[in-house]
This record gives sequence, C-alpha cells and structure tokens, in this order.
Amino acid sequence: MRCNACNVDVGENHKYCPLCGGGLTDEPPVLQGLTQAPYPALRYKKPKPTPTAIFFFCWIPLVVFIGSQVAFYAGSHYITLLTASGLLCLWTAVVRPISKKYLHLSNFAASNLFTFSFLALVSSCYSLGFKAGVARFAGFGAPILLLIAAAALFSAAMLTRSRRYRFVSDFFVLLLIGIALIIFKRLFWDIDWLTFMPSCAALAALVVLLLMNPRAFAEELHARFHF
Amino acid sequence: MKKTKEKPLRPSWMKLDSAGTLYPATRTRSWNATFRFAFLLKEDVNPALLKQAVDALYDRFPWLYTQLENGFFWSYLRPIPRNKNTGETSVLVCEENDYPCRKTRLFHTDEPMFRVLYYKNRLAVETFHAACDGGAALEYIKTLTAKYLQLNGVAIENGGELLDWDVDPSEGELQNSYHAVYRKNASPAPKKVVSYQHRPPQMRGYFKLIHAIIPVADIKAKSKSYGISITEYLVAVMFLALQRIPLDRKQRHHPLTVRVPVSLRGIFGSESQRNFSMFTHISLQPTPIRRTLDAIIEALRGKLQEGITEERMRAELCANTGLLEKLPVRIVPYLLKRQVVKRSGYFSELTSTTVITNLGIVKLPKSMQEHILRPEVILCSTPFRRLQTAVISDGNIINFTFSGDSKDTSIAKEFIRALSEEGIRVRVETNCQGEEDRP
Ligand SMILES: [Zn+2]
Repeated sequence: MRCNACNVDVGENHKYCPLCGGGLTDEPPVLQGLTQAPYPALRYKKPKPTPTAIFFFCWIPLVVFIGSQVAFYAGSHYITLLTASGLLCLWTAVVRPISKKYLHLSNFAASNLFTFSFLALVSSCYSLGFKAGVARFAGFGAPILLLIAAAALFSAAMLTRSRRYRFVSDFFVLLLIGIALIIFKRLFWDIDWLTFMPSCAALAALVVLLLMNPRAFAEELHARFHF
Repeated sequence: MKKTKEKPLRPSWMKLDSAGTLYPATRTRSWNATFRFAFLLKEDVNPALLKQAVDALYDRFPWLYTQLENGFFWSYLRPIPRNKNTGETSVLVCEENDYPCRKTRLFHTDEPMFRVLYYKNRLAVETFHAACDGGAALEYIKTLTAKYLQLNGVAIENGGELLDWDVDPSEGELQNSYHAVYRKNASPAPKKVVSYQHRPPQMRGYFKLIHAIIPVADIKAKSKSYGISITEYLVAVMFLALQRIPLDRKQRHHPLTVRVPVSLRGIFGSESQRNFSMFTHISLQPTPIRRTLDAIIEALRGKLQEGITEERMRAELCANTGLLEKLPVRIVPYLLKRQVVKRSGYFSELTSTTVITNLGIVKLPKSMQEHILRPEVILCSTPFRRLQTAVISDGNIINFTFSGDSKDTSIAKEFIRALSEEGIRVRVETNCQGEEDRP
C-alpha cells in the first residue's frame, strides 16, 4: 500500500495513511523486503483523574484545624470527641490502607501527618488557653501514637529480614519527633515520663539493630545519609 | 543472622550518577522518563527463555537490577532481591498490552527500574533514565538478546561487539564519569534561551509512534552530496519540517531549537555503563520567508561539530552537574533540593523544540544479525515536550521514530514528505491504526 500524497510506503493492514490520514492506493511498495512489525491493537481510554498529593496532604490538617477551632469556641467535649473520632475514621479509611499497601511503611510521612495534626491540635489549644479535654488527650495521645509507631516499625524490621536495616532512617525520624516533643513539653508543660518513651524506644531499636550486625548497620546508615 | 566474611559480589547500595539525580526529581504522578529499545526478531519470542536470560544477567548488570530508595540527602540505588536457590529475580517480563514507554514503577517495589516486554517477534526493554542512558541500555538489550538467542540454541560468540557476560563488572563500568570529568575551572557554557514550543493538544495516557524506515544508502548518498553527516542532514530536514508547520505567532521571537544528545564515552574515553551523555543545542531563528533546505544546511554547517568538541562538552557538563559537586548544595535535605532540581529540569526542557537522538549503527556479531530484523528506539514524551524523535540503524536501514502523547502528526508528516521530495524512499509504520487515531 502507498500514500500518494505523502509519497511513502505504508504497511499492509493500514486503513489510512498514518501521516495525513488520507486514503491509500493498492500499489506495490517501493521498498522491498521489509517485514511489518505490529503493535498490540489498543483503544485509547482517558485515564481517570487521580487525587493529587497536595489534596491528600492538605485536607487532614484542615479538618483538624477547623475541628479544634470549633471545639475551642463551643467548649464542648462532645465536639472534641467527634473531631477525634473523625480523625480516627480518616486514619482507618485513608492512611492505614496506604501504609499497608506499601510494606515498607513507605508513606510513613503520611502516617506521621496524623501525629503532626495531633501536635497541631495540642499547640493551638494551648496557645488559646484551652487546657482541658482535647489538650490532655492529645498531649498523651501524641507520645502514645509515636510509641505504637516505634513498636510497629521494630516488629516489622524484625519480621522482614531482608529489609531489617532499611528502617534505620524511620527510627531516626521517630527519634527526632520524640526529641521535638520533649522540647515542646519542656517549654510549655512539665516533662512527664510519657514524652520520653518514643525517643527511648527509637533509640533502643537503633541500638539493637547496630548490635546485630555493625557492618550492615554502618552501610545502611551511609546509604541513607550519604551526601 | 548469617555472617559472611567474603567480599559481597555486588555493593549493597549505589550512589546515583550526576545525571541520574535529575530524573527521579522531575517525575510526576503519571509520568517518568522511560525510554525503550527493541529488537525485532525473525521468530516469535519465547517468554520462558526470555525470563531465564533476564535472570542470568543479574550479576553482569548490577547498575540496572536496582531500585530507587529514599535517602536523606540523595536518593540511591539498591539491588533488587534474587532467590538464592532458583536464581529468579523480580524483573517484570510480560507481554506488551499497553502503549510503549509507560511510567516505570519507582520506590517501594522489588521490581527494578526496567521491564522486559515482548509482543510476537518484538523484544523490548523499557528503562527508567536514572539507571542508565541510551548507550548503556542498548548494550544491555544487545547482551540480553544474545543470551536469549543462546538459550534458544544459537551459537553466539561472547565478547567482541557484545559485553563479555562471563566477567565481573569493572570499576569503570560502574563509575560516575561526570564526577571524573568535572573540572572546577571549566570555561562557561553558552547561555540557554527559551525556544519555540510545539504544543499540539495532549492526550494523557496516549502514545503515538510513527516509525519511518529509510534505506541507509539513500540518505547517505543525499547527505554526501551536501557534504555533511547523516545526523546533520536529519537535523536540517527537521528544521525544514518545523518551518513548514503553521507556527504560533505569539512565539515568533523564540528560536527553533533541536536538542541532540551526545554520548560522552568516546569523547572522554569512559567505559561507564550508567548515564554519561550530554546534549548540544542547535538553534535557528525562524524567518518570515521560509528557508530552503540548502539555506538551512548552509546556516547549520559546522554548528553540530562545534557543539560536540571536548572543550564544549566539558563546559556543558560542568555547567549542568557542577552544582552537585558543591558542599553547600550536597548537605541540603533532598526534600528541599528536589524542588530546585525539578524546576531546573523543567526549564531545561523549555530550551528546545524537539529532540533528535541518534544512537548510530548497532554493531552485532554476524551470528546474531541473522536472527534480528531491525532495531527500534523510542523516547517518551515529557510533560513539556510533546514530540521526541530517535534514530537507530542496523547498517541497512535507518529507523527514525517519532513519539509523543498527541494525535497530531504534522511534524512527522512534513519531515517525511520533505525526505520523499528529496528522493529518499520511506516506509511508515505506526502503533495506532484505529479509526479514532486518524490524524
Ligand atoms: Zn499520507
């Protein structure tokens, strides 16, 4: 087949010229001995729009912020409870499936966001002078969540042998958050034992990994923090 | 935990090379820089043997059988796991059932940064650019095809035109050659300007290919008559085609620019099998009266040669990767650095209208040539540049491929018509033949 408008050979099973879209004439090809190589026949489907990362990262703090404001002005424990359970639902519906999908707690940052939003809640409540209910719950909640995260990370590290050392940087993040929490508490409240725990747990996990195979640990550390 | 004293066969992690740091940063949700090499074999591909061949090359290509991992200052490469008993790897070997150059799975997966696809007699390897550049990927598919044919019972001599698959990878092959070539006091590279952008309506998730198959003899005779190389001739014809499409009035002050990637291995004597290429830009200001091909060739004469001298390439290289060598830049967390790298990558795309990458002639041992019809190379379109072209040859024919995520074929049409007007014989093939794909 040939397209006379473009003056080119066209493969046998073409219905129209790929260049101009015009009709073809049944003339023998000028170039002999070329074999046609078909591609799978596909129909174009417009891809579904996916929610963007920005969307995901923005709406949780927004909900928390509005929730805490409402709680503050209403001064109601019911609303506070509602916000907390709303957050829990969000976590179950959105954050958990994501962290489950990627075994490596890949979207650890996304899960951390949950913790951070709790911190934001505490700080905003504190600066507004609202110390009851929400603040107390979140003041304890944040370290407890971190502690759970540390425990989950540690058990995951122990269970998946090949990935054991990859958790190093995650432990570091936990350690940093824990330390930030201690500083925060030191500045605004008296230190209580609970805030020490996440940092201690993360530190302990790091030490255990280090003792298990110092060379692999050093390599992992170098990989994660090379510059 | 089992403790082994002997030196590990492959490093437990690898740094990205200087160019490799760019590609993970510029990726978007639906796109990353994935390109394809393919060989058309004379017989249909046997998937089981292909998988065996892929697994067998695990130790020879440690830079390819890796996946990206997030670090604090940089991403880095980690080898994918391999089953110790069966030697099986997690490389995806599957039948092609989507458009070419789909995005590669990155981070948080055991798959490496490449996949192997087959369809009837086509054997294709699609690679994410962070792992290696075109030259290195071509070496891989050559070796893979050789191994596959060997498993199929064809006697193929190891070495020669192919990488020797029985030896361990050398230091030089794993080297970040950008770093080795970098000099602090290099001369400054010419300033880049924003170029004319050809933006036909984009169709997300679509991918149109047009292969123009041209006899080498025809094009060689033609370029010889003008006294220029084949690449220069193709670039000139590309400018002619760009002139012929109706240009956007608003952009009339921007020059038309063709980007020509250049492999630096020959220039700097490197045997790196990772990224080691740079590009040179060839610009032409559009004039109210369209230039003839002769006028374009005169205007371009010597420009390409000038652009690929050692000094010029070193200047480009230092300008592009120099920042990565500076300590204040290196100690910024990757989270922040990524935003800068991403934007500079996007700006770099705006400095060219289209790309012509010429991989040259694929040299294969005689025993392999008998089983291979022709090679193919396909570049993915990028979020900014809708049309890319790539050239590969087997010595008899040149396979010139236009690819992009738009139905528009205006440039390809003008390009190929210009070739036919010059008396060059062309055969055209495409991957989209449905009624709704009609241009
Ligand atoms: Zn036509």
